[in-house]
Amino acid sequence: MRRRRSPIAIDFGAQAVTVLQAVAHAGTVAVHAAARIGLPATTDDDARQQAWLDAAATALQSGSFRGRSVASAFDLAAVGTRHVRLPHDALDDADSRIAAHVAPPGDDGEVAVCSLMVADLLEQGERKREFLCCVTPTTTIDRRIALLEKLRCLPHTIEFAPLAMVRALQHGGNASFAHLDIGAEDSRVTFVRSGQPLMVRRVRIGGERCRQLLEERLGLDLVALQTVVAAAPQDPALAKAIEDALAEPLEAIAGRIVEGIRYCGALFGGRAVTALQATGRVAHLPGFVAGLGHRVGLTTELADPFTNVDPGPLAAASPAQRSTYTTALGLCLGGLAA
Amino acid sequence: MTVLVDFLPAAWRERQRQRQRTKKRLLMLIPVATSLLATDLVLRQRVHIAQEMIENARAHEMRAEQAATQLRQQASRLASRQATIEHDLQPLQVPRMITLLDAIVAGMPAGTVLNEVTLRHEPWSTTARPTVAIQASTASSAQFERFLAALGIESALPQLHCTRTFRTSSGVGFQLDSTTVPAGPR
Repeated sequence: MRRRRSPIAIDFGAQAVTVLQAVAHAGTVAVHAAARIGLPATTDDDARQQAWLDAAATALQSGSFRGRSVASAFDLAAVGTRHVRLPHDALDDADSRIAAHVAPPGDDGEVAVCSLMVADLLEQGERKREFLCCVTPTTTIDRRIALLEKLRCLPHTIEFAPLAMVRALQHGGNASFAHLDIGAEDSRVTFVRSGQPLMVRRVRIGGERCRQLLEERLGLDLVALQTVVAAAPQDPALAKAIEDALAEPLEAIAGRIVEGIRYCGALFGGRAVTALQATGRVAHLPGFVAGLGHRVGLTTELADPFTNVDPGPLAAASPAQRSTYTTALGLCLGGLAA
Repeated sequence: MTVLVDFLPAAWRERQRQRQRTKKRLLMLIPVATSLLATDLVLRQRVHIAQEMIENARAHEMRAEQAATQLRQQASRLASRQATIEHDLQPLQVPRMITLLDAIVAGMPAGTVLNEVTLRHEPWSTTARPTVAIQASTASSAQFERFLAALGIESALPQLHCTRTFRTSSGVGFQLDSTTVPAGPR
């Protein structure tokens, strides 16, 4: 059976650029090459584009990546989501109606819209269909294409990062779950029902805020905390201390998740999701997942995107490190499925 | 289930496909252009060789024409020389004197007395025949006539005419001369 190589997945994150390439052979998927290059802290958009370019070029040179085809993704910060409901008798020209909803006439900025069907429902006696619309300015797309072309790559797809992440966590099944990814500056929650994304929510609390709280309340910086955790990973007192220190962000995140669960439950007349999966470095701290599950009231676990994937060069990486490759792995799997 | 949200514009994909097609055509053009250039080069070499052959042929033709002209001149000169030689050799065609004497003696009847035989030929004379003069006597006139007839049939001898006959004590004397008038020396 022939080996199929995925496009090179490049995840342009806030703190690092992650590059991954997978190969599929005889029904199994394995990581072929992986690299992650950290970025200098910056708030200037042009400086961030240049940092992405430099880091991605370094990452591509460091691994044994093959080909020029590249899959990339926009983070939730670059893509807005809107839920649009259209009557069933208006579905024939759904695209134009959705475009009119998300970019009303008179709005100067040109936007690109990708819509996903969420549910058919009855609203005030009228049958309607709800769409999850992902909206981003075309200038953002043009900048991303230009960035990839500067890397002498050929864009294969430009996806929406939260949806690429849940692809990596579904492991080929049609599970119903909520996925929390804790990034540096913010966190994303994606609700999936039977493999179908329903909703994406952004929580403006990220790993950086958690790190500040841990330093303030425990008096430990991240390196010291990791050392303590490595020494006693199963210590319930440590887990309790961390959970207490992170109570404020946990409450905020849990509140956002509960809102989403309620919304999805209302759409489908019952519980739409049955579990919560978390990714991100902070999620791997002892007590975080347990505290979150306690507040949300769902089975909560740390997600391992490499459950059905041979991690290859990432075999020696810790689960926390591997979880940073979730978006890139989802992009690779999407490229292999295409 | 693979849910794909792709922000890559369809227009960009179309442009990319167009670029790929153009690139493919350009790549296909390279071997065609290379083969055309190679063919052109080979044909130019062949033409060059053919032109050299034509120039060589023209040079050979010119040399052949010159040789033919020279040959004609040489042939003409040769014919002229041959004519000159033949002309110059003509005096050497004269029969030898001993042959003439043999011819005279061969037809001579018994009893004939040769008193004087004069054979004369001017050196380098254009006339081949020498002059012959014979003074002789025979026992009878019949013998004389027989002798004269014998001399007449000898091809080596010029035609002889009797210029004088007279009676001698022993028979008939006579004098014969060739009718050929000797030419002067050249």
